[in-house]
Amino acid sequence: MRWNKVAIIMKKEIREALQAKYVLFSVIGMPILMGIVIPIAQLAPIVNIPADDLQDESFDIPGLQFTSNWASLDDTAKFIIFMIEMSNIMFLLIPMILPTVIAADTFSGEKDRKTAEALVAAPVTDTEIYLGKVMSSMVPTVLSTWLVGIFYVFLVNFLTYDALGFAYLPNTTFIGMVVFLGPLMALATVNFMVWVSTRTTSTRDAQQLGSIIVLPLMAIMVSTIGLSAWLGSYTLWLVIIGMVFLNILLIKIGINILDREKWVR
Amino acid sequence: MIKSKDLSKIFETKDTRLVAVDNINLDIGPGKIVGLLGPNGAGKTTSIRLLSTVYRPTSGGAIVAGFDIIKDPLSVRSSIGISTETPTIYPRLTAMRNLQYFADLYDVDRNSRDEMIEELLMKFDLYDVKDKPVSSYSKGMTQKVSIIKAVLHDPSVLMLDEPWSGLSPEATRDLREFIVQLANKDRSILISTHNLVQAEMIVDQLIIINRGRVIIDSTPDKLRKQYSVNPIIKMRLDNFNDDIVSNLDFVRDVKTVNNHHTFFIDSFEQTPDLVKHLVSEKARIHTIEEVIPSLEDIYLQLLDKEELR
Repeated sequence: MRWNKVAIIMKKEIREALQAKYVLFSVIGMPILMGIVIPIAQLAPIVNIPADDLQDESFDIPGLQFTSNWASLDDTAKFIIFMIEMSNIMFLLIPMILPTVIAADTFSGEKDRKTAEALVAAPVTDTEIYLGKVMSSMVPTVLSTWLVGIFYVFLVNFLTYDALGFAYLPNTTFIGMVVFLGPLMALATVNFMVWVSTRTTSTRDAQQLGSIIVLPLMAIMVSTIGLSAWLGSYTLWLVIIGMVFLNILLIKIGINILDREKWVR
Repeated sequence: MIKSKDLSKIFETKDTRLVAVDNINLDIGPGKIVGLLGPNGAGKTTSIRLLSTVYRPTSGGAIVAGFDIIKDPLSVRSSIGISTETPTIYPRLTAMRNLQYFADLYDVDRNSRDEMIEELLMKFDLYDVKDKPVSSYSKGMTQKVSIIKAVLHDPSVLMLDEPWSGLSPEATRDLREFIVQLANKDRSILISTHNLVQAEMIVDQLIIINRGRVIIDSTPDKLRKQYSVNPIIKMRLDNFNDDIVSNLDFVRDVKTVNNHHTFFIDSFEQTPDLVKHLVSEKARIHTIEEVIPSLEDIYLQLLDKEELR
């Protein structure tokens, strides 16, 4: 395997995908909307709610780790923490949704534009093509998620510092989600999209089917959040390890699925 | 440079079985320009895809540029240049970006890469538009980029599928000359085309395939002799129908498009007899021309025969 070939394919794929306005908008717009606008819109109204106004609300749910860890805080602070944790979910959703747009363009788009033959006739192996294309979906997704994540951390701390008295983010769970689980979710989505592209003939079909394909990953995401909330953040790391193995398996399957002949025919 | 042995490709699904290429044996030496002809669906593109390792053969094999297409496909791909029937150029990228990408994939030296690409773009009259997206190009311009892509790593074997498609007359001539220059440098060139007029001017060898099988493998000269194609008289006539010449034994066939008639006769010595007969039948002759059969005429006559149907 020659990583320079993977890099050549990846750079070209990114350059080409970003020429499409809908891809560019997705890469920039979706993370901003989901990672900044929605969370801030949720947090901004609650940071100044007096604790007395939250008397009827209970965030001391038995076993809920991230509020029980902060037992000494008042209800407003617990509510803010609860809402921050809920907002963090966006940083798993972005890496699951964004790659469907890019991967559909790079894999099924080749079929649409009838450009695949030049690539499969070039001196590159199936693995190099596969990884080049997978990376081209992964890199913009991960970079834009991380970039927006950095802004998100600053904004959340800016908004909640006065109410909490300390900077809540980044914590171990958030770092685990954004730095490790997010990219692994993105990688799994791209691998699923390869499978989708072998069964569709157009970019639009691939995107539509791709939105259904991410549902099992959503189930993993919801389970992870639930488990880590009640059982502790170590479950997050178990899921991360599990996702590493799942992705290794999916990559192996994906390379076998990428049939040069079918891609050209 | 290209040598195939019983090369075959069968496409099979649950319900269908299509023999696209059936035991093809090719032998194309260095410096040779070979025309691959045949009707639509004959197996030309599949043959090129097999030789360029895009498809894996069902049986048989081939050595291309000194490498085995089954055992060492990567080396084959490195040593050949291919321009496909539908130009496989990325429309959103500029010509320059497209060519830089392929140059990098083919390990063209980075230091001389851009200079070489620009030289080729100039040669093909695309230099001024090199930084515009290919989507803004005409079909002919895209075709030129595809051909530049095929040659920029100086391959020893070049496979061109319908290379003249969409090109202007001057670009067609330039490409013809370019192909000959490459052949003079000992490059083996396989051209799949329907443009027999262009092919006739440069090919050393002709391979006609149909239903996946090689029907004819010969030189144009040998082909003319081998198939002793009838001389042709082309006339523009009024007051004519085919029945007028039905009793003339030396007229083998007549093809008519409006008032343009093509007579296939045994020899040019019979031209005066044909003219006399037409005049006697009150046909009005506007123009008359004796034509030595071209490759296209040979091909069309062969196509009319059962073997190419």
